[in-house]
Formats: sequence, structure tokens, C-alpha cells
Amino acid sequence: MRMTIKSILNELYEIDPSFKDREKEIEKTVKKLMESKIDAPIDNNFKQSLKKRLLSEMGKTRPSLFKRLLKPRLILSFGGAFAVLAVLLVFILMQTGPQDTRTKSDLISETSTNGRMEKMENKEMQSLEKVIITETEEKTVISRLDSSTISDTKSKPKLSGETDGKGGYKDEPGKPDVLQGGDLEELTLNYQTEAFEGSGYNPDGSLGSEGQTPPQYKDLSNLVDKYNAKKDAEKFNTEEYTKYRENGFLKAIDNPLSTFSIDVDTASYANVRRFLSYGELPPPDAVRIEELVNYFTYDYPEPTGEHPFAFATEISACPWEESHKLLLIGLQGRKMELASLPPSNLVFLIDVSGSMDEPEKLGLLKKAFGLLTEQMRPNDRVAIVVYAGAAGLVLPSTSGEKKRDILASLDKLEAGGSTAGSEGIQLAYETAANNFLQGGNNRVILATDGDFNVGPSSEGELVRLIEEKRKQGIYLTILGFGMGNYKDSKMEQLADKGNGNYAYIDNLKEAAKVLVKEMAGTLFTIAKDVKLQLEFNPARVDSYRLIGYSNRMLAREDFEDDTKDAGELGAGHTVTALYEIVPAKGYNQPTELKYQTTKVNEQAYATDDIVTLKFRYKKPDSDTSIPIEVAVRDEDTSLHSASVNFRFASAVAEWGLILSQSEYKENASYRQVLELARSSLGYDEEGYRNEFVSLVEESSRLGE
Amino acid sequence: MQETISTDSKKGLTREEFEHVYDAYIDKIYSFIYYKTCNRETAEDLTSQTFLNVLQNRHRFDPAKGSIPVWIYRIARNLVIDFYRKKRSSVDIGDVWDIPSTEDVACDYQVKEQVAELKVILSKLPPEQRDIVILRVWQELPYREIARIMGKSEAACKMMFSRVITKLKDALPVMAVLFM
Repeated sequence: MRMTIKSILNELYEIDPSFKDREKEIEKTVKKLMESKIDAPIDNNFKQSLKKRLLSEMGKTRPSLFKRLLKPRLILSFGGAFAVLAVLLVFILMQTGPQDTRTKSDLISETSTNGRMEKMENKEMQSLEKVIITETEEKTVISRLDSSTISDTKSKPKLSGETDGKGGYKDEPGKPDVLQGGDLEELTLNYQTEAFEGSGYNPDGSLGSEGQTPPQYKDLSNLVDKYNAKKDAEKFNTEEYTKYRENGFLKAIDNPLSTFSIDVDTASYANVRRFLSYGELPPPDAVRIEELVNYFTYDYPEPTGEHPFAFATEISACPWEESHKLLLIGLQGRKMELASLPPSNLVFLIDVSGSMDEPEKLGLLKKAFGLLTEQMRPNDRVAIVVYAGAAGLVLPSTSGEKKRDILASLDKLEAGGSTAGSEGIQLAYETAANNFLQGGNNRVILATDGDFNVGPSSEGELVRLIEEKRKQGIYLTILGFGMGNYKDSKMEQLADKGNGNYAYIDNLKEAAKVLVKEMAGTLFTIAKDVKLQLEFNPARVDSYRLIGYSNRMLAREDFEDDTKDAGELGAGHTVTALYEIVPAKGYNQPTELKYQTTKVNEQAYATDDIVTLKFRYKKPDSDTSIPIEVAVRDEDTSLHSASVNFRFASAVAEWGLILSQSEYKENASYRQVLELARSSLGYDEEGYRNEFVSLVEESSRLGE
Repeated sequence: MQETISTDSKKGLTREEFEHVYDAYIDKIYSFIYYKTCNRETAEDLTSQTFLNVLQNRHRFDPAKGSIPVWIYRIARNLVIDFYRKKRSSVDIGDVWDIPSTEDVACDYQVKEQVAELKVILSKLPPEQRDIVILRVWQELPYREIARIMGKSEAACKMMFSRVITKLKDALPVMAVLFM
């Protein structure tokens, strides 16, 4: 019933009878107030779309309890089977659909919404292929594992279908897998939701990162429509993470050498943070422990000598397994002042396809590149290439002096159309080559949600192109944006092939970290193909396990092979690796096989060395590697007396073991992670370590 | 306000209940947020967030602790406050009416003139009194609900509204110029 002016007036007279004396005046005031009501009609499309989305969200979040009751790997198998069924269903529908007479070019030339739909269809096909590939590959891996002899100190029962083979000397590259658990695209969650607790309902806390402004949507209803268009495809998840086998324990006597490439990527941490900020635990395969550990900088000694990096080692007790030790290896790249860095020839390669049309993608991307542009010096050059339906040069190579031109071009970018990523990459590399700076930093910076679909070439061809350009001195940096449809696996692979690095940008603060504070590290390589090889002393080490770096393992012979690619170290970068070590007990009996005998020599028992550490790296403009070798002495330091570096790095690794549901997590607990981290915050100028503590608290709430 | 949703005494909302809640309150919540932001995008965004918040916390909803509309309104109200605080990094701004009129408030062009006129009046009121005007006059909520949304007694809310009227009555000569 519509409220009359009379009822309001009567209420007022009840409160203050003296109003009655000035009835006319009061009535006029109330009337004016009622008439001045602003017209605020709600858009019907918005209303309907939001409802649909919320209800589907509800359908999605409901099984979470069920999910927790089941073992995650089992879920993967169910999820995989479900995905196959769903994809087959979609595939059948597509086959019988009424609109299939359209050609591909017809589809592309349609409106952007349809462009997106087409992208969805392609994606579904891709998922189908991936699932099938996964199944066959799994079988292959299982049979290969069955037929190989694996030395293993910790045999545990496995779930069927699990392909986690511990112990092969060279870890095989992972298998693509379509997982459960990628969250749907969030429309509104740019800041986090705090639980309603206690007596009052206090919605939305102010937990969001500082500097992050609440979302500004150009047209939310458009976004919602897009969401609905995608919804079906996303039911079985389109975020892709490659599943890597965790490194297992290896017997030092049988496998004394452990070889791997450094990895300076940090994307996994930001991605995990994104999941947690939306109140979900990340899918285990989205957790790459080395990227979590390397997100933080540690206080390692600065390089002083001829080499561009220095390193530190430390041995102490393993927090999650008392009887084990943990060996930390920390590398510190030489820091360089901005002024002393070589000039840059940068090509921003920006994905403006329809899927990027979201504030946390293109919106954030523009701001991120804006930050980077502000850092440019007059002798630096910037070009902008976009790709969507077609690739195009938006801004020819322009001096860093003309910041306004660069910023204006960035500002004009708009999203629409489907993605032709590979064409864009080709054009970007051409632009970089045409403006090549000898001795400079020539680099393509690709910003995308990683959804390459309509390109003329396959992923393999793309990788070949990137590898070829790397040899010509053009490097690649990849910045990942957005969610819901995020192709983590593809992006990491491309960055690795392109002598580059890969960061995930989830907010402006992260953009500032990667592109301003750590710009030198992100964009200037001081050492390339950095490899490590450890030779463990079997007299002191029974077995060992490298934590993380599963996709960075190299064969022992790759170490000295200068044609084998490995990770790059940027200016000021720190890289940390942790080995879990099972100390040797007593004298090793020689292992006797039919044709050979392995025996530990006397020298091994005589020395205090636990491991010999060997590095190889190349100068950025050289093709010949430089070796470094040093022996590390065994120590019995308690965790309490370990350095802040050690305690913090081990806390992060322990958290990673829990989140990735590692089978080696032993007694790892959120509580212990928090204790370790809180005791090792050090000088946390930027607040990253404190943020870590709150993320652990959040994950502990979700996970326990 | 219509109390169409009965959740008995059990905690949480089922899918059907949530759907009913959505249908019953979406218009009201949207316009409430719009009155405080005067910008369609922002209002749609914060409305989405309000209901997402409701959805995510539906199992925590306890009818013993408050009614559904009170709960949703409080979420919406706090989201608006957070929105402006985060944006302006100032604790003094609770909604669009607190922004000095000289600055661009990013309001929709259709209501720009009206907002400029209303601002003369509304910016003179403390945020709570503005909320009373919005909730009582524009949204026609009963004092019982308003009191719970604002965390005050009914009497206090009524008193507050009478003060608003006294204040605005005194400013009537100005209003007369503006609205006539």
C-alpha cells in the first residue's frame, strides 16, 4: 500500500505535537521531500541475469561439503569423467544444432557476443581433446611406471588412477588435465567478503588489498549476459592447470645427482591468493610450491665478484618431519639501478578479445601498463600491438619520452572479438625485431587471460616461434590477468620457452610489485640458462627430495649441455630452493646388481660435506656456460636457531605442501606454518609477509 | 515492508528461500543503493555484491538475530560506505551526498540536475538523517525495520526524522527556489 503524505504527517504530529501548529509548512516540506525522490528504475536484464548467475553460483558452491569429504584425487577422476560426459553431450548437441551451416568466418564476423560464443565452442572442443589426451597419457605413464624400478623410501598405498610416480630420475613433463574446482567468473568480487560472525551481521570487511579500488563496470548487464553465454561451458571448468608429478625421495646412493633449472616465476602465489580471496581453497594443481617460495625476497648476500649472482646455503631441521633435514639454497641476483640498465625496446602485446572485457582484466591491465610506462626513460622504446579478431599495431615504437602518447594509446584500448593470439605474437616479434636495440633489453610483454583459440597455428608452432625469437635475443614476459577461464598451463609454458618470466596480476598492488618495484628483475636478464646440479654425499644423505620445481627437473647430462634451455635470473631477483633430506644412518652397504656394484668411497665418510653444489649460467649475450662449484658442510642446527630466511621459506613451503595436498606433507599443519611465519616476518617493508600470514589464516579457516 | 519470507526458526536459506528473497528485495535494494550512489553501474555492481554476500553467507543467516530485509539492507548500506571509503580514502564519506558538490560525483546524466539540487539540502544532513529520509520517505519502510537497519530504537529514528523535517522546514525558502 502506498504511503500517503497523511501517514507521515500523523507520525510527525505524534512525535512532536507542536508541528501541528505549522501544519501547512510541514506538509509542504514533506511533500517536497517525497516529490524529490530520484527515479531509480532497475534494468530488467540486469535483474534477470543476476538472478540466474546467483542461482547457478548456488548450485556450484553447494557440493563443497561433499567435496571435502572425498579425497581430492578421487574427485579429479569423477570430475574428469563428468567433464568427458558433459563435453560429449555438448559435442552431440553441436553436431545436431540448427546453425551449423555457418562457416567459421561467418562466426567470427558476427557480433562480439557471438564471437565469444564461438570461442566457447572452440574451448569445449579443446577441453574434449585435453581430457582424451589425459586419459591416454595417464595409461602410458602408469604402464611406464609399472615397468620401471623405482627406489623409494616411502611406499604408500595409492588411489587408482593416480599417476604420481615418485622417484624416476628425470621428472617427466606434466600432463594437461582438466580439473574440478576452478571458480566461475565473479562479477562483483573485487574486494573480499568477510564472514558474518558473532551477533551482528557485518557484511563485507575491508580486507581488500590497499590501492585496489572497487570495481567499475562499463556495463554490468553486458557482463552478466556474457557470463550466461559462458556459463554452460564453465560448468565443467575452463581454468587449466597442468598436473605435475611431485618429486619423490631418491636414494643418494643410486641417484647422487639432482639437476634442475631455476624458476623465478611467482604467478602461482598471486593465483592462490585470488582463490583464497574468494573464499575457496585453490585446486591442488594450481599450487607450485617454488613459485610460492619465490614470491618473497630473502636477505641473501649480495654478489661482489665476477659472477652476476651470489648464493647462500643453510641446513636445519625439517619443520614437518623432525627426523629429516632441510637444505636451503638461495640465489641473489645483482641489483641494478634503473639508470644503469640497458635501454629497452618493449612491445606491449595486449589481448583485447571479448573475454578480456572486464575490469579485472583489461581495466587492470591498462593501469598496470600505465605504471610501467611511467618508468620509461627517453632512450627506451615502447610499441603496442593488440590482438583480437585480427592483430594490429596500435602504437608504433615510440620513445619513452612521449609518455602521454603511450598512455593515450593504452587508454583507447577496448575489448571485443575473438582471440588470434599467435598472429599477435608474430606481429609483436616483428615489431620488436624492426626496432632491435643491440645490447639492449628487447622484449615482448604479453598480457592476456591466455585463451588462444582462433590463431592459425597450433600451440606447438607458437612455442617454436617463441624459441626461435629467443635465440635472436628477443625475450618474452607474460602477465596473466583475470579468472574463470584462466590458462595457467599454457602461459607458463610459453614464458619458459621464451627465456621469459610469468607473473599473475590479480590487483594493482601486484602490478606495482611486478612492474615497478621489481621491474629490473622482471625485464632485465642478468644470467640465462641458470642450472643447478647437486651431488649428494651418500655417507651423510640416505635420500633427498627437491620441494617443488617439478616441471623444472633436468636430466643429469643436460647440466653441461649448453644447448639445453633453463631459467633466467633477472636483476635483483632472489631464487630459493629447498631439499628435504633423510640423513644416512651408519654405513652404506654396497649395492650389488648383476653387472655393477655401487660403493661409497672412504673419502665420503671422511668429509663433513653433505652435498656439492654446482651452478652453470650464461651471460645474457653469450652461448657458453660458466660453471661454479662449492661444497656444503653438514650441520645440526635446530629450527629455532635457523635464520629468518630459512624459517620463512620453510613456512611457505610447508603451506604449499598442505595446499597442494602433497603426499609428503607428513606433520605439516597450518598452525605450524603460522608459528614459523610469525617468527620470521623480518623487516617486512612492503607488508608481503604479513599478507602471507593472513592468507594462511584464511586457508586454515577454509581447510580445517 | 513486506515480510514474505518465512524461514521458521531454522538457520540458513534454501535455494527456494534465496530465490524468494531475491525476488522480494532486489528492486528495493537496488533503488536504496541508487539513492546513495546516483550511478547505475555502481548501483548494479553493489547490488550484485549485496546478493552475492547474502548467498555466500546464507547458511549463517539466523532468523533469531534479525529479519531478512534488515540483514540485506545492512549489507547494502555497509557496501556503499566501503565503496566510498575505498575510493576516496576518507572516512568521512558515507554516500554520494557527502562528496562536495564542486567535485565530479560520477552520477548518471539523467539525474545530474536533480542531484545537484538535492545536494544543497541533503549534504546539510548528517548521514544517518539522510538514511532516514531515504528509508522512510523514498523507500517507505516502517520505523520498526528502519530502527533495526540503523541499529537504533524506533523512538530515536522517529525523533531523528522530526529533526530532519524541522531542519528542512527552516531551509524551505531555499527549497522553494529549488523545487518550484
